[in-house]
Amino acid sequence: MKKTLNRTFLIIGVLLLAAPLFMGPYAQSVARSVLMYLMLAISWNMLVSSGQLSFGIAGFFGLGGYASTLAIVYLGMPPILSLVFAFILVGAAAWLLGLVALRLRGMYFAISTLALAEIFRVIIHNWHGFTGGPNGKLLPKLIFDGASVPTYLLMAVLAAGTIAFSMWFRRSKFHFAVTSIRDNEIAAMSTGINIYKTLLMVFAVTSAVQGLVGASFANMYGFVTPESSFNMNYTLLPLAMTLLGGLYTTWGPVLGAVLLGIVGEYLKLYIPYGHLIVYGIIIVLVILFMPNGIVGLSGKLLNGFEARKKGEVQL
Amino acid sequence: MKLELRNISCGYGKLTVLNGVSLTVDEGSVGLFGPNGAGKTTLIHAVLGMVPLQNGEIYFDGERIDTKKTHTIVRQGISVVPQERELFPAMTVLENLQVGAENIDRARAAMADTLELVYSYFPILKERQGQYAGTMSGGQQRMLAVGRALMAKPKLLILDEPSLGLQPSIVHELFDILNIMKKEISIFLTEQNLRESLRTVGKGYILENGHIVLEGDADGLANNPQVTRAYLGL
Repeated sequence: MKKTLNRTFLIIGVLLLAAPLFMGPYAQSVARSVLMYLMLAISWNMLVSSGQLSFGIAGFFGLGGYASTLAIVYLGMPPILSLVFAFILVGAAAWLLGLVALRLRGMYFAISTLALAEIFRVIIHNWHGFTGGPNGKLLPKLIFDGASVPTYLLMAVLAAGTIAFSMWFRRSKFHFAVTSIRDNEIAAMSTGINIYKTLLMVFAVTSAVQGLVGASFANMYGFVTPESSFNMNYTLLPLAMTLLGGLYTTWGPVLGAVLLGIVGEYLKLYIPYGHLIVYGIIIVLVILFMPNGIVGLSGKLLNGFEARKKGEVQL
Repeated sequence: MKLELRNISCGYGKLTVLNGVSLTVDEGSVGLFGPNGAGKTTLIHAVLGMVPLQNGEIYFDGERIDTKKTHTIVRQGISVVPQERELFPAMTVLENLQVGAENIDRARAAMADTLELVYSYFPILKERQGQYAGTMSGGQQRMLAVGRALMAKPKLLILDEPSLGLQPSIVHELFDILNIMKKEISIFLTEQNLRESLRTVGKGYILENGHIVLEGDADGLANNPQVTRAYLGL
């Protein structure tokens, strides 16, 4: 059952990933932003699988954008290399901050990640000489000189990599470790799981992914400012997408990002900022009526279907 | 295998629960008995490094463990069946068992064999291996918890009140299995049900208000008038 579901999503995914290549620059730019949110949602979902809620996505996103931009501006780093640099730098920063923040749990951890994101923004906002302060920084040129197809391909490769990483993660021993931490920390400890180290690793890697996405965003649009790079949307939208698609799965955030990303794009045209209201309504409805999201629901339906095929009764 | 607690004291905040307790578990099986609130669970948490000591030392196989982290102690060969909320309800029976072995190198290498062994002790777990742990009965969950602890290939298995909340026939069945298991590994259990556990343990300690008030072999305890009056209702 699970295999059928995974394969179906894989085929649909590859087709969707290739489609914008034949649809012109506008579709490619929408698709790029969908992929961006998709990566944020997947990485957030990996951490939340361990029961730790992070509201710091925008913080690591913005930090990645600034890391990459400043590396290009001051060090003359090639754009692609600056993405790698942002990935490593944000991962290292998250590791260090995690050393402290991960002594907290639940609500306290969530709030401290929110505060961290805000602290990044305030520091960058006020460090005029280095970061450009409230005006931000401009990049000398866009990645691939702003050419649409190569930029889209880069995002597609990064997104495919993130999806593959998440699929590997769900089959590795990390999957058991994080699920057991989420279920019951005392029991997890008693089975020899090093909770602190596991959480630290997951937090660092998922934050690094968020930094990488921020860096590619900066390189696509050619600028960073405190207000745009640390925008709360980068925290809230991935969250809504994951909830809609389905928590604790790889394909949930993918599906959620594609649906909400495209719907949001259209809504933006007709009711500016109205898409945020729609997102809010969707979150409420999903939590009330399908807490396992679309993937959970379709898995259930598929289960029922296969059971009927085999002539088994499904309760 | 030897677990040695030397004069340990510990508690929570200003409250001292254990007060100068010394206790030794060698090969074979040992029981720790006492009423609610005596400190039995606290003692197990202290052994596992979940409660810091105020005083005293704990040694396992000659190595001091009271300064170590829980996961390190578990990897050194002590497995525990906690008293409550002991399973991962959102995982299947098989996954619960796998988690038991997954994080310990020597246990992971021997996973297939240990799984067969656990299934031979508890055939019901094999029947139910695809079912979510949270959907099983209390007795089956306790068996799964014991099975998961065994998956770690421990040298010492600690059980915290294994009979708690189970019907007498299931308790009897569980202790029958512990009697078979104790030929393979050492067992340290806490209990209030002396009648059942004295069939299993070779030696016992009685803990009251954080002090060891009595110790002796199983026969000695079973015939001690103080014990029979207080615990066996005779």
